[in-house]
Amino acid sequence: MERDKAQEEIEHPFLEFWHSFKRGRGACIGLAVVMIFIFLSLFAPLLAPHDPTEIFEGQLRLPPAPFADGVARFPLGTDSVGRDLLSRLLYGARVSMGIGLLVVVFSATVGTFLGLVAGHFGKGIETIIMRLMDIIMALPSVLLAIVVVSILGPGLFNATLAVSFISIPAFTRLVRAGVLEEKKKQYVLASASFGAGPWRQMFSNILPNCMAPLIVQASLTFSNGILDAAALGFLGLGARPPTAEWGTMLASARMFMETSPWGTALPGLCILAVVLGFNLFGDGLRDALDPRLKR
Amino acid sequence: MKKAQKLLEVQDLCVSFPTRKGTIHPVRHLSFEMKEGEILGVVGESGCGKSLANLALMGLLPDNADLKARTLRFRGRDLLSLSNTERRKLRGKEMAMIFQDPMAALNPCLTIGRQIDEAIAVHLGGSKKERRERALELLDQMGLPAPAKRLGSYPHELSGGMCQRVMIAQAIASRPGLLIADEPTTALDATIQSQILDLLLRLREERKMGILFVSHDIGVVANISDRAQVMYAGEVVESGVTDEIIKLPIHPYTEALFKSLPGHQKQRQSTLYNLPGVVPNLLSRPTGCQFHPRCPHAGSLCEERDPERVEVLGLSYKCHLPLGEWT
Amino acid sequence: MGGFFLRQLSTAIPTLMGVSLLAFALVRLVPGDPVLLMLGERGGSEEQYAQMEKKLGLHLPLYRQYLGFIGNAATGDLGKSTLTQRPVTEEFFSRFPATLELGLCAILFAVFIGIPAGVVAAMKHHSAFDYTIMGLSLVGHSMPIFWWALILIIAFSVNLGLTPVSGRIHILYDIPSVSGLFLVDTLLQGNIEAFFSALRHLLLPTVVIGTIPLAVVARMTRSSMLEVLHKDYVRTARAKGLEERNVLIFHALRNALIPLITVIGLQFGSIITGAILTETIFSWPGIGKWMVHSVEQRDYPVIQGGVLIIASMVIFINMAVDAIYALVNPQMKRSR
Repeated sequence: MERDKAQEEIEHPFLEFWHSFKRGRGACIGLAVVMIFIFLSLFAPLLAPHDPTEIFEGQLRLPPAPFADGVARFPLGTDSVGRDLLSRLLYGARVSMGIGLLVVVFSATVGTFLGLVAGHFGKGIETIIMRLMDIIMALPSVLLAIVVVSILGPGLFNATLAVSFISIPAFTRLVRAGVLEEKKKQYVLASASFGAGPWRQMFSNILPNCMAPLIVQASLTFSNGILDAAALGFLGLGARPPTAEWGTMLASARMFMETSPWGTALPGLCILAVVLGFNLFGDGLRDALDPRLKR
Repeated sequence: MKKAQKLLEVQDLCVSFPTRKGTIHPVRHLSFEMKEGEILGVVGESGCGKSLANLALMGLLPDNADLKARTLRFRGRDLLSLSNTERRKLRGKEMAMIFQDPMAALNPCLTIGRQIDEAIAVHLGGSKKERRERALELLDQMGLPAPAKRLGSYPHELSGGMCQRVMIAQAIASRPGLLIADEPTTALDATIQSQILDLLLRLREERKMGILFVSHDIGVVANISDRAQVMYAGEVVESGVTDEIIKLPIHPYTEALFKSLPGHQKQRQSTLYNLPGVVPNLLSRPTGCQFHPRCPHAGSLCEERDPERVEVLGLSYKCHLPLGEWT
Repeated sequence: MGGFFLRQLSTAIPTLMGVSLLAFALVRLVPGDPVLLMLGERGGSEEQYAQMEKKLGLHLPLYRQYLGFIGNAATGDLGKSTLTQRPVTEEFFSRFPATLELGLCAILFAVFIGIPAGVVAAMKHHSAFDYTIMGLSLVGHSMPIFWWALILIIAFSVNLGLTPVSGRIHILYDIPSVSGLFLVDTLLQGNIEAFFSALRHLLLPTVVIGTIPLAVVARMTRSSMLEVLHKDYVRTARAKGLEERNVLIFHALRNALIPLITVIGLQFGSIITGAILTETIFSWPGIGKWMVHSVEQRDYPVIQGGVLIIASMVIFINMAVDAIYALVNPQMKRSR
């Protein structure tokens, strides 16, 4: 009875969230950018005029089409070995979004699990896990990532793993704090008295209640993941050259940045745009999901 | 020389704010006078515009507020024509203010001594030593134990009552003619509350200082003030000599305030009277008398027309159906 | 106060132990034979192999190995670089001043531009200036700084020819090392030309590393200031008749800066990350470039030692920041 009444009065939670979210101008810009990049990465094969690794002999470092030496076949010009820049950027979006997604999935899964364990079991296990997280957080992110890469060896997948690894503590801390908060509340006690086991409790009671900060963290992890993976690519420790990855593209365009600056400018702009988009989106999510943090 | 006796003259003071959903008018046509050394009590529920009116008098309204008034005179000087600097020099020197939450009103990062010193330095000047002595003297007058030790304390090391004494000390440092006390006892315990009220009464006696005492508690106002005015939704609905108002409230809102006071003589039932409804939303004010949606006596006239202000025998009220005639 | 430091130390020590354990585990986590790893890609004779095995103590049980490792670390012995055969500590501290100089300049850049920008933005809330600062700070916060460095090089070095693209100082100058900071050493030598050369070399790397801290500091100053400006005590200060300037400096800014101490302290991590990328781009002979180079060359003793030293530094900086925070915040000072 009580519940029916409450639902009549209150908007559907998603609608309520949406009304709150769309009030933020930054949040809407962020969402638009995120949607555009999702679209581009999904449909890269349809949108790209050429194969991203196809080399056009004698078409090195052409400027974008509107410039004097530009060719309409290559709308954004070609790179230092004669590959179509637009196609590479589009496939690059695919790679970067994939990295972001993997980083979020991996670090959120491991981080949430560790946080649940730490928060629920407490004592020695909690101390060990949280101390480990302190250590990971004590090291500057990219430094830790290159160290992990030095163990695993360079490469796109290993770089993604390294970046995921450094993203774990944020989730663990959030989940643990959420568990400690929720554990105090009555309904968990109530469901324990009905005989719900610890794991069942965690997934059905505790986790849904610390979802809001987790979603926000996921969005910020996504953008950080893209940024750090691109940095590793730039340092030559991430994706390897034929792969159309933005950071790696920057590194190989660097040698020619005096004569063909667009080869440097465009991949970086893409990184900036997607990272900015996700950060704006994440800030908007936080404002809409967590009224306590609002001014 | 009639003007010289008047401490404060306010006529048709209006404060408005532009908001996204339209302009709101939290204070409407506020008019009153204060004599030197008089205590004027202002009562009303929270959100009735008392605090904004105070800030308007002090010249401390937020930047986006719009202030209009036919007359706003302090000791014969037109406050509206003063420059910002002249206004600032008046603040703290001739008109001072104390606030509701004394703990929050003191800077947590500066010592008590430093904060009192600032108030002395800006208006009175003097050497460091003189200022320190003056500060000690003030704290002593406020009845603060061990004042020399207190000068080096931070606000969080003091109790709420002590902080309010410090606030009063720095407010009266340069002997202002007017002290605006905005709910000075609301955040304090009952015993501390009466100590602070006694302190204010003593200061009025000693210094002939006018006090504009604002509170939501009509009992406190009845205790301390010479004259009182009751505010509702940004307007004064009743004003007059405090004793008269206590004896015979004219406006139904005043009566309701008295009735909801625990242990008051007007209250005969065993349960507390509870005034139904809330203060009107400033974006969609009711038509006619602002109080009519909550008034037990309201008739159709009240709904249609805003009552005129009636002034008789030193009393003034704004009601179509004043209680004196009604009963 | 003493109790406070003890408590700080008691939380820092387990973290430090953990970091040392991580550094220790590092070499053992790498697939392959640690002895060969430590000897480097050139490998060595059987005799050298046995020597290295003994030196690494690999014949001992793991806990003994670890105790030996931290024992050596405590005396400053972190092993030798497989590339140069010089002690890791020596290599580290020969490069450290370069990174320190860059990092300090970046922090100063961020603080001296970020705080005034944030303060003005807060005071002109909702103005065009405010929106500009906020927009720039959002972009700065998301900046891929390795790209930003390249763009600045194209603009200022290539097109305008204003700044050099690599190194710390023009090759002509020979600066005797006193502090290791070229800006200081050139002045001590009285060589103004060399000073300006060092300054010009510092300019772009400083801006690049300082961009993210600048964005964060400006944003946090603004929000902290906005919060403080609405506090009752600021109103009290105005009611006292203080001049607006004094209200802003002594009552608003002073209080707004307290939470910023922590924010600025947290930027050291971002500076190390910045140094790794920026030093590589500008051929800046500091720790960051050295670490990247060591990872490329799989010089494990260097990676191990470098991680340990950098992590210790970050932990101690955090401790120092907490201590400063406690010192300037009277509410914490007395409540203990």
